[in-house]
Amino acid sequence: MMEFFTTTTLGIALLVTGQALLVIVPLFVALAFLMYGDRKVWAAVQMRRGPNQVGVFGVLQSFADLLKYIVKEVVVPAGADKFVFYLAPMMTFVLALIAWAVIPWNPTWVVADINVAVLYIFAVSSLEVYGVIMGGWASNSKYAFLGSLRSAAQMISYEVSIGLIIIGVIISTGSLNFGDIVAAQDGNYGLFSWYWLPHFPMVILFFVSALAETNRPPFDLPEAESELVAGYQVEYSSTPFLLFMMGELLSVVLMCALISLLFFGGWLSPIPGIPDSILWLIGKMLFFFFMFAMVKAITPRYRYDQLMRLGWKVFLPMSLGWVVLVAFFAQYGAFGGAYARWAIGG
Amino acid sequence: MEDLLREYLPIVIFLGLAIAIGLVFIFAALIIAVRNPDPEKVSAYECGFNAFDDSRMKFDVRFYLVSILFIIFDLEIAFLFPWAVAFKDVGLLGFWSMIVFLGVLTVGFAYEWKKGALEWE
Amino acid sequence: MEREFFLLLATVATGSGFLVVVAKDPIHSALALVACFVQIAALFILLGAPFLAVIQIFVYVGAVMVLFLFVIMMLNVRQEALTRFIPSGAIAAFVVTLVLAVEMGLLLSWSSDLHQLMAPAAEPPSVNALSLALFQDYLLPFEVASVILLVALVGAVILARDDEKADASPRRALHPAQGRVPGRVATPDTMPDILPDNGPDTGREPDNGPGTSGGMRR
Repeated sequence: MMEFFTTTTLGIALLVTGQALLVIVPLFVALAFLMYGDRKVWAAVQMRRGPNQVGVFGVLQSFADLLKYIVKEVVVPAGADKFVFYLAPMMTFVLALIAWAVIPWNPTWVVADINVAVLYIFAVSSLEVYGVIMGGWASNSKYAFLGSLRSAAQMISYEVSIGLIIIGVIISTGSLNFGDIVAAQDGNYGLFSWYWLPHFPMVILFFVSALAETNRPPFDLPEAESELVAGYQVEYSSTPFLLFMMGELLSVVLMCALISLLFFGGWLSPIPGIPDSILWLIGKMLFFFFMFAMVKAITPRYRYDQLMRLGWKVFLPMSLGWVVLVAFFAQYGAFGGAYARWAIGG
Repeated sequence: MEDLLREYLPIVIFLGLAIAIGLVFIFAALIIAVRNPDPEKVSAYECGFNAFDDSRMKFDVRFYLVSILFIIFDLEIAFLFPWAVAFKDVGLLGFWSMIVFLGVLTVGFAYEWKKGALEWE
Repeated sequence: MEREFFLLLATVATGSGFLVVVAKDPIHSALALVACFVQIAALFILLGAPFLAVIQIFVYVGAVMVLFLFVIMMLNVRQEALTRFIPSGAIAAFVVTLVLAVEMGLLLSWSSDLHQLMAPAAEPPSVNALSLALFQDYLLPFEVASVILLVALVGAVILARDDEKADASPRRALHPAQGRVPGRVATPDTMPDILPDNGPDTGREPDNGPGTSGGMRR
């Protein structure tokens, strides 16, 4: 009996490991090409060629970069706190990766189908600030330290708006499970049943907050080259730096997935009649990643005081007001129940 | 109970895999790459001259203020989440109690705004 | 399975709690406390309360500990940390530890059904049940919480303002345009104010003389 039990536990563990690898491996391969795509978009906007040497049209550039990172010397600055210095990139990378455990790809394809999935992602992304603080502090360099403080304050400021925007969606759905949230957006009108329409102003706010939360341009203050060089990453080299970069890109793609799932119907097809599929979700994520890349290419950088003013004086009151507004709409059944789709959710 | 473990086991496994991948990357560089540090190379990044003092210095009180405000709004969000989940079940009383709760905090927010705690110059 | 997980998590939690006390650097203490909180969140999941676990992480680890880290960095506790182990402090700590140990021993020996009390609920309580309890049975404490948060907000603003007034001059050097000089272009706060006080800067307040403008962050 006991043996049987342990073997099944082992079996379950192996099965789950397989499922996890099924998410992680394609994700990493995709990451390499997304990095390439990001650079190509950026280059195209500036009428440059971008990476074009490695492989056909340079598609293998990211793999060459990976190789280069691994053979570079790991420089640990004198006076650095060695343990924390290595822990910081690990933390960024690990947190960015484990958030993917709860992202569903399909009504049934989800590695960890937990009931508090949305909250889990929110909690994990609230921890990402540690990688930044630790990296800046451990480096023992003024630039890194100042960069990490700015970056940390920026991340926590925009997290508040992201939380409030998510709550607006939860009020409409009554569930913290992504499967339920997507199911609630399934309607007769194809893409007009999705939440982007009733929650329209918040889609834009969420996108901009996501840019700030992931330290992407135009909010890449920690990397403001003219003042803080590379911010908290300035002392990092080789694979620790690579881990920072991968963690950042992973959270950018995660934000794309979140926008697709929360506001754009996840795997639902936009036109009634065409079957729903995982390809829709991937297509939506790619579209939002393209938007991230475009924003990077065409916007000038914000100044820090403008950034904080935008976060606390514009986004926070707007998203808080929106939560109250949605609550009233849902409570009193405004707009034909567009804000109150609880029948599907938990 | 076993169900719950089954639900959260994937997260543990994801964590394990993520840590393993991260360690592989770091150790790959530590083992493969040459290490040849010299005093100039390991000195902290500065613009041309030696560092004056320890970099872990005092900083502006505003960062501290922002993190306090963040805690308060984070707690507000922590209350809003269960409320939003049970929105249809808490009834009118629950609905209006949350509106009052948000109203009280908005007073605080307005105060803070008026006192200039949100100014970054 | 559950038992093994519990033992693992409890061991790590205790170990990191111990590290909080013995670590030399206060930042290490804070990071060990973070690890401890994460373990406790995992214990909540074992007890069948995943919602509490997630709240524990995003309130305590994601917000409170970030503030701790900021404060530790701001106070520059490096010097202060050395004076932490003063003899009288050690005696007080010893007494408190003793009292806690006795209390825990008594609790363990008196309550035979303690483990029953601590056992996870048969059916993990849903988030719905929790919020019904919060918004129907415990409505008053919930509203009181809003007032407490309001007081905290006001208190934080007042403390920060006081701090600013108390050492206005070094702060002034950090922020040449402190929002009291309308129309002046703000300077990014990292830019050292190294220019000598000349013509265009006369819009400043008198306390910001040449003596304070030269030294940045001293």
